[in-house]
Amino acid sequence: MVNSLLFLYQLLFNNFTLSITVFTILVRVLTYPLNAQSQKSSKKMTELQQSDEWKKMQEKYAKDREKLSQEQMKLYQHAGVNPFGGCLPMIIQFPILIGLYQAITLAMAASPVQLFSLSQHLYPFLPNVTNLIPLENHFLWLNLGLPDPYYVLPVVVVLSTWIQSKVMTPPSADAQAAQMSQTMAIYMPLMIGWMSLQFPSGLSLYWVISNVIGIVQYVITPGAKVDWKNVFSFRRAPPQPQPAKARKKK
Amino acid sequence: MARKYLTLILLGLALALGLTACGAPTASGWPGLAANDQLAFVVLNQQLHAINLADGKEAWAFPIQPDNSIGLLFAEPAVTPEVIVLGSEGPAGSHSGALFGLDPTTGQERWCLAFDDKGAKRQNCPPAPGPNSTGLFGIPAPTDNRLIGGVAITDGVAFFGLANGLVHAVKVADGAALWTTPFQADNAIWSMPHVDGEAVYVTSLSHSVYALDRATGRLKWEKRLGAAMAGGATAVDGKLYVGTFGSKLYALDAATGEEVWSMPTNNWVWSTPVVQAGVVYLTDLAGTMFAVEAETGVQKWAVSPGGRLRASPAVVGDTLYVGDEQGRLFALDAASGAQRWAQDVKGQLLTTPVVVNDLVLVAPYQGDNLLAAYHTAGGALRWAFAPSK
Repeated sequence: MVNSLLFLYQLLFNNFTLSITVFTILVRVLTYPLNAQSQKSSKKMTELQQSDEWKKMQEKYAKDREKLSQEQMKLYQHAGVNPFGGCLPMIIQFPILIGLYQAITLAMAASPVQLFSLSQHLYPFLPNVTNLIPLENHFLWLNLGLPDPYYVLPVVVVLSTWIQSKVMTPPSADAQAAQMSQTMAIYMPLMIGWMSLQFPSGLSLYWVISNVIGIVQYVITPGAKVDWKNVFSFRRAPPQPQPAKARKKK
Repeated sequence: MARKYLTLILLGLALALGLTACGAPTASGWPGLAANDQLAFVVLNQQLHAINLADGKEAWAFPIQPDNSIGLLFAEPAVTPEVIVLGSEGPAGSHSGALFGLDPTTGQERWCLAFDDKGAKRQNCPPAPGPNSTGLFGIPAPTDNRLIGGVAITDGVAFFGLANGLVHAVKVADGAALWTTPFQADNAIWSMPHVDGEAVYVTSLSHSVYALDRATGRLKWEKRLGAAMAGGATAVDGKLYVGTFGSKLYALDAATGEEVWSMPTNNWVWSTPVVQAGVVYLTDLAGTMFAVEAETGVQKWAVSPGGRLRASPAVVGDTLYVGDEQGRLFALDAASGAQRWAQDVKGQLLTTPVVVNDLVLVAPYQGDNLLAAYHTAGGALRWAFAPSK
């Protein structure tokens, strides 16, 4: 990966920001089938969870968790939905994400140990690759090897991660799932934002670019519907329906 | 519900771990090593350890416990009878840089110097003079002031370059700043300056080597060599020898910077050339040890004793001592490159060995020990030191 990144850097006028952007797009294109499968699976799951059949089952077995999960599994099988279908492609992408992250860290080579490590990973057949070292690490006000002193980038990281998670997580009819999504939509951006306070801004920049591409990719996917009202909504998830109340309604 | 939250937290932690722990190594540099007649001084991470040469026991450490306000220590300390001068990256994560003057017998801090206001406040050290880097909204622009390359001391003055491309001169007696270069290299300085006569020679990752006036820091000449340099330069008899990441060894006219001769190597040169008795000794990352005639650039011999060679050789009498990345320490015949003895040291030998009395000292990176001493004759292990955890 690091050699591809350096090759792009050479092609793209020695501009590291541009290289990260193009590289992220390429990785997104390559992993598109996995993402599409994940989105398709999530969509099916959401539709299933919004069905009357699902809601009735939730009410019927609200007190018996074991039975509820058995019935849920049956419903999944019947509808041809794999409950892990959304997660699996994401898990498969995890090593790619780590590889990409490592490639960027390695290419920036901010310390002697990292540069020494980079020297071991360079392909000798790449033309003039050693002349590129060290990479140009300035972009706008940023030194890409250092954290952003103005905290602008960490804020953008938090916002873009939050928007991406809201865009890609459609509202769930299941109260528990909705609450979990909401919690994740809050804590994940904050955690990544906190990490970007410590990390070189080149990596934060990668997060932002990756998030923006992720949002665009989701929005232009055929069949994907984005509820922008939900994206910018700060309302809490509706409380889980109480079994007793449900029975009273009946 | 609790289980779901736990899963969520674990997933988050896995991501954080995946991105940090599985990423690049956390240590930023390999150990730095120096010695006087009685003590060896070895730095790694956040401490300098002074080790008795007689028995390998620790005499003192600076700071006594690892301290985030000191930050990571990079290169070898500069040792004089009066003071030890030590550079660091500055308070943890700040990249502010710092320089310390220590008492050689006790390790007590005598003075310190910071390179920006943030470092000065956090360490309570006076800031060295330099250009103000005011950025947006009056907030200082980010600068990388780490001291990575080490300090050269001549006639009571310490010379060093920073990762921000500036070179400083400081009095070693009290840390008083003498000058800062009126220009800034286009990229970081990761090497130790070399002082010869009235000039200070500095290499840089900016692909240039600079000659500065020793009294004022003004630029005498700059020579672009087409590739980065992380090893230092050596001036002997009017010639300046320097190796580059462009896999070349250059001999330049020390007065003008004009190229006298050049010689290709097999890979990047990260070592500082060592010149003795008219022969230039240097290593490259392909694992080649070269001996080259200093006057003409004609290769006398080249051998590949083991793995990749990052460090410079230590040349004493008719023997070269050099360590490789695989942790092998070699003693080679300086006249022919023939191997006299070899020893396995656990860890990577990326630091130049130091020879003192009848001992070869090596500081392995990521090894079992921080320092090991071998007999110069035969290579038997004399003692090893590992800091208590």
